[in-house]
Amino acid sequence: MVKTRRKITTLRVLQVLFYALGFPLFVHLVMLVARPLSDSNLTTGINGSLSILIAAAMWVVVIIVQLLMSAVCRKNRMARAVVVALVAAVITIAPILYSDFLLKGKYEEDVKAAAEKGVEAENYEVQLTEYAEYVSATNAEINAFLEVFNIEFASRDYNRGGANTDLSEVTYDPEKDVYLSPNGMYSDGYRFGYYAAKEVLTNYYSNKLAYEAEGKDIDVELAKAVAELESNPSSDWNKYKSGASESSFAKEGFEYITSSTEYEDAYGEDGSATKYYLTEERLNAILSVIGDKFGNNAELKMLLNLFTGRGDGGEGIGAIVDKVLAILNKDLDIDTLLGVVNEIELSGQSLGAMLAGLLGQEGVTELTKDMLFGLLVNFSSYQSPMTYPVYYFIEDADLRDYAYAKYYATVHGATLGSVLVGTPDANGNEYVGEITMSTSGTLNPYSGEDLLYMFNKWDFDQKLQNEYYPVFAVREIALKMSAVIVFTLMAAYFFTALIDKQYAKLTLKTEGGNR
Amino acid sequence: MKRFLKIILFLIGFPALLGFVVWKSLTVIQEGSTYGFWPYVGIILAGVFALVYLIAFIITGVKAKKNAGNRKKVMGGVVALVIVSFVMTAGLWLVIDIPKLLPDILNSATSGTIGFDDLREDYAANAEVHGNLLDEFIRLNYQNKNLDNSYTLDSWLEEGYSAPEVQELIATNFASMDKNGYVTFKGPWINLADGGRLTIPVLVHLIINEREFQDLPYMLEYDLIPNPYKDDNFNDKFQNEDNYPKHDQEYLVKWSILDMQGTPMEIDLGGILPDDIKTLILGVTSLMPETIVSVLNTLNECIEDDALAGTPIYIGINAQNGDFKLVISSTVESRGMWDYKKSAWLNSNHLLFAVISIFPARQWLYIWGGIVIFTSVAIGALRLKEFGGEEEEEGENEQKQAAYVPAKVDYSEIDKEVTKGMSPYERNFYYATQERLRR
Repeated sequence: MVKTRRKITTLRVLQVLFYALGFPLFVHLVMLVARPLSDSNLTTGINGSLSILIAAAMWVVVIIVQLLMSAVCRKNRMARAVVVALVAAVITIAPILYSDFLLKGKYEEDVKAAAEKGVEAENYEVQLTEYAEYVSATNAEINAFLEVFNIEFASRDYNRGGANTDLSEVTYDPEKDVYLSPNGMYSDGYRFGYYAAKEVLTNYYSNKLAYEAEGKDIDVELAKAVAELESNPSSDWNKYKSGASESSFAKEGFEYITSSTEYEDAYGEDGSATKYYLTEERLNAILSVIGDKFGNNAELKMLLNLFTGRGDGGEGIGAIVDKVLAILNKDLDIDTLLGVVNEIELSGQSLGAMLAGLLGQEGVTELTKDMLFGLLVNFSSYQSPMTYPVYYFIEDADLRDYAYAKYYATVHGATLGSVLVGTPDANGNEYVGEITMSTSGTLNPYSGEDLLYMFNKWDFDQKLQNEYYPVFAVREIALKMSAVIVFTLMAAYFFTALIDKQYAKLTLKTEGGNR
Repeated sequence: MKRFLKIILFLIGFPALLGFVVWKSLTVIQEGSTYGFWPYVGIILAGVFALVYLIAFIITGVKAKKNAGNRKKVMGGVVALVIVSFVMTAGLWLVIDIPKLLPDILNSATSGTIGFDDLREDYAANAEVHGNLLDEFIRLNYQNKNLDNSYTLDSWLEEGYSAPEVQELIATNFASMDKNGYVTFKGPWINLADGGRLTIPVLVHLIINEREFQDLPYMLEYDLIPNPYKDDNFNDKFQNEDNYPKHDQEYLVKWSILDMQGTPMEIDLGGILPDDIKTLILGVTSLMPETIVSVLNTLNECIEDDALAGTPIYIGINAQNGDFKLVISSTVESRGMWDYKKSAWLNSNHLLFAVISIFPARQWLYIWGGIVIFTSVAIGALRLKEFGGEEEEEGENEQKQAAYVPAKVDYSEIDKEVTKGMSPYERNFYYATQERLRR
């Protein structure tokens, strides 16, 4: 009896071992080969784990058939085994046949569509063999892209407590992976993810290049469109600022975000947005403090007085110091300051004109308030999340997309240290990405054409990773294991039969007593 | 002998484990010595586990004696002891570690400033960091005379957190830094600065954005205004040294972004300017350091005005050792505080010491868990030997049980076969023998 039990134990070990070498091993191997897909950022939803789910589903189907057969066909062990073997064989061959016959046709169509966008793809058989390497290569390309622009694949909202600076609500759109303000623009603290960066750069370069192809400069066209909106009193932009009725807008279906006073509420006196950037009033208040405090600094006056009253009569240092000392009081404001700056003559031109030249305003005779605030926008501005920007009212959809993209890529990106489009320096070098107080960014290795090509390629790669590679991973393992699975399953059945036989012996002996 | 062996095995188990936990917790205890029982939380936890094990050990021992001879019951006690030894060592920690409970708790308690992996192995160094936070805080506040200078610095250090004055100072001043500092920054700006995205627009937002403040007290005896200009001959750390102005108690202390960051920003102007201009400027400044200090003080007053930052940010020039650097410093040192993160740690240092103290316990409960389980099994084996009665051979019991199964087999066919050709005498003898045997 002890011997029989030992035999049963051995047979049980063999039964479990052979069973484990079938579907459990198959699922495990699929998990291993599917690891690059589950780790890939480009797989969406369940597609990252789709191959594992397919493999598990195949196993479950066979288990169900086994259970059904053991219920339906109780006595005929051989019949049960044959049916299960057949189902196992069919189910393991199915992904191979599906990918080799049905999927291949679909692939050819997708390759054609991709080729129209300039994307070249390997033939189907090469894809079947090299898909894992392609996943790694694409991921490496995308990681390099993310690093250049100082972003991560998933976006992030840096706002504290999920609210903008003016405490307006931020909503998340999971489909596009974007955090949006009530005006539909990115939230104050939105750091681009892969999808948003791709969309912004696509809108920027595709429109820019399209205009260039027509011999036009899109920035000039944009400036014209904005100037028209600003200057035309009956433009939608001016109607919006003055709170005109919604029906009077040329823009179809226009609706205010909250109310017709929203622009005034944000940018009017004590507006909700004016607390967060240097307005003229704020700048004047600062200048008044500076004028007052420095004007009352005896040591500074004594120092500056060393240079005054030299009687040089012209615009020497003494005269400049005289002018500066004259405005150092609590009445100092932007107009007074600009007046003095434009009065000071250096090398035959006013200091204001020289400064304007440095700001890129050639051929002007003085520095104006508009130029100064134009410069200041790069350092201190605040787009209220509760109002539409002027771009919203640009009629031409392409130009409008470009305007938004340019704002996001330059102003918004520069604020958050993820510049997507930089300003080329004197040598034509364009720095992008992490431009902060302590870092100067990365030399942009991509041209607009490069980026547009890469995005099309990555879109195609994403399609492959979601629609083809999960099946390829199952196919790869099924191809090697189809026969093994059927064999090991049958071996497990065989050992089960042997175990049952041993049990029968054991029962007989027990019934027979201790003879 | 068995009793002696059991005692030795018991001692190798949990008591030795407790010894290791205490040994590895020494730095934590030493650094947090003024925080009462908090640095002992890990040891207390291990002690509670040891106590549970001890109770299980005693109960199963008594029951084994009581049930001497009943191998099944003695075995049950052994299994219970082994399970308790596993649960009280690695088991509970696995339950905590696998769903990552502790990392999540630590992350939310410290707003992500202290990670689980920072403490997992490096708890001693972290205990030193947190011990140093308090010591340095006491030094800073002794310097600005917030702590009574009639006692020596050493006596304040020795008393540490147990001194009510120190506790009040930390609680009051951190509340000001938190509510009139960190909390007032709305939107993304401070997170961007903390997240390595301090751009010029972010800095401008952090300085000029309108903020709301509360009327909160701040304990400060003397204003230690940093000396904004330093060269090789003019290098006092603070202005008016030995004659600091009394702090105006009516002045509402507010905090700037630089206070949140703590570390001064240095811009090397020497590297930007041509050498001859740099030499000229340094020559002029060294001739009239007081004038430069006065001008820089005026600049700093402008920054402090509500029209600009509303709180001091000290802009200075460092012209020491041939350098020419623009230095932008915060008020934290002169006000006797750490930067915001470290101040927040200091404010909850007692709890952090409790958390840190858990890590040596956790580590040694894992490491020594296997040994405790082994000693429990060994003690169990001894108890089985002592109280479990005779061990049965494998299968013997089954065979015995099988022998008692009444045979209901019809032997008539077999008997007929066997007795074929026997004489009546032989047949009778056969049946008589078989009947006796079968009975």
